[in-house]
Parts: sequence; structure tokens; C-alpha cells
Amino acid sequence: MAQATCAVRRDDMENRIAELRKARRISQAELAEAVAVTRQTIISLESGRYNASLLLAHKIAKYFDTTIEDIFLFEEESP
Amino acid sequence: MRSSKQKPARWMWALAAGVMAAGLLLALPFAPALLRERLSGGLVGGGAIVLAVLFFQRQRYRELPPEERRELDAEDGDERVQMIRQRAAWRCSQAEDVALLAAALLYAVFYDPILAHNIPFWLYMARRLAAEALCWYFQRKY
Repeated sequence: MAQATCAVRRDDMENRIAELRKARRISQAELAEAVAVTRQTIISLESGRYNASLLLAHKIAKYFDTTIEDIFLFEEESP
Repeated sequence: MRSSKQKPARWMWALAAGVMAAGLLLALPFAPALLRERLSGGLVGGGAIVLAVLFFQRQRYRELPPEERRELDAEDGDERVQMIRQRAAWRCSQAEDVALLAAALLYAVFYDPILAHNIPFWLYMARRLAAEALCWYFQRKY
């Protein structure tokens, strides 16, 4: 009996915020103050528990003088 | 909802002062006797208590380290904090709806079966209508 297969797509968003921040020797508090969020938000962003809005992503990219695509890596997975 | 450690907002001071002022106005001879007797003392006392709490909060805020003060100041504009507050408010709203419906059911079963007298039911309907109206408005706005 043929079984119906369900394609499951899981969209994952990773980011390089921690990597870029450490390369520039910037603390989480400094980055949080620069982009007008709390330090806890930066912690959640770096750990992947929270996805930034487009506006916040733009602010972070501008702060690091790079593009959003360079910081936020969007991956689609389908088994 | 703001954290209790945050600096009290200006509107909170204004509200407390306004409540006290209303109580003092009601204490004047030209105010209706019923309001003067029942509300005046409560409003003045309540306003004074709120003002005392606000003073305490402001003092506690001033004693915080600069880093923690900066974190608290950033909370109101932080998108993640706003998202958390909105989600919490939404869940509470759903729980309140369930509680009101349960209260309406109990009211009808044990107190008064006439729907027109069922206060919890009409409170629930008023909340639903207000929510739908706001959704309609936001759908047009966004």
C-alpha cells in the first residue's frame, strides 16, 4: 500500500553575530546599546532563540558595516 | 507590563496625583454628600499610597548600577520584550475569555437562567466585540 509522503520544511535561521562581535572585541552590552535593544535580546539572538525583525537586522548589519545576508544565514531543509 | 524596577513613567505620577486631587475636590463642601462620604477618603488615601510606592520605585531605580539602569530603560523599546509582553497579554486574554464563559455558565445554572441578567456573559460579549472591532481597525491600518 502506497504511503503518502509529507514533505516537511523546517526553516532555520542562523547568524554570525557572536562571531562578528568577538572579532571586533565588542561586548554584548556595547552591541545592545548601539542597536537600542537589551543585552538579553543580544544573548537570545546569538543563541538562536530569537529571530530579529527586519529593522533590527538592518541596524545590526549597519553597525557591523556589512549586509544582512552576510550576518543572517537562512537555510531551508526538506527531508 | 513594566518591570517594578523600572523608573516610574510620567503618566503614573500624573495618575496618582490626579486621583488624590479628585479625592480632595470631593472633600469640598460643594461636592455631593454621598460621593464625599464614600469616595473622598478612599481616593486621597489610594492616591497617597500609589505616590509613596512610586517614590520608593524611583529611589530603588536610582540605586541600581548604571548597566542595569540602561537595560531597564531599553526594555520599553526592545522588540523582543514587546513581543513577549504581547504574547503574554494574548494568552491572558484567552484565559480571561474562558473564565468569563465558565462564570456565565455557572451563573446561569446556579443563580439566574435568564440570559439578559447574565452579567459575565455580557462582559464576555463586550470583550469579543471590542476585540473584533480592534482587529478590523488594525487590518485596515496594516
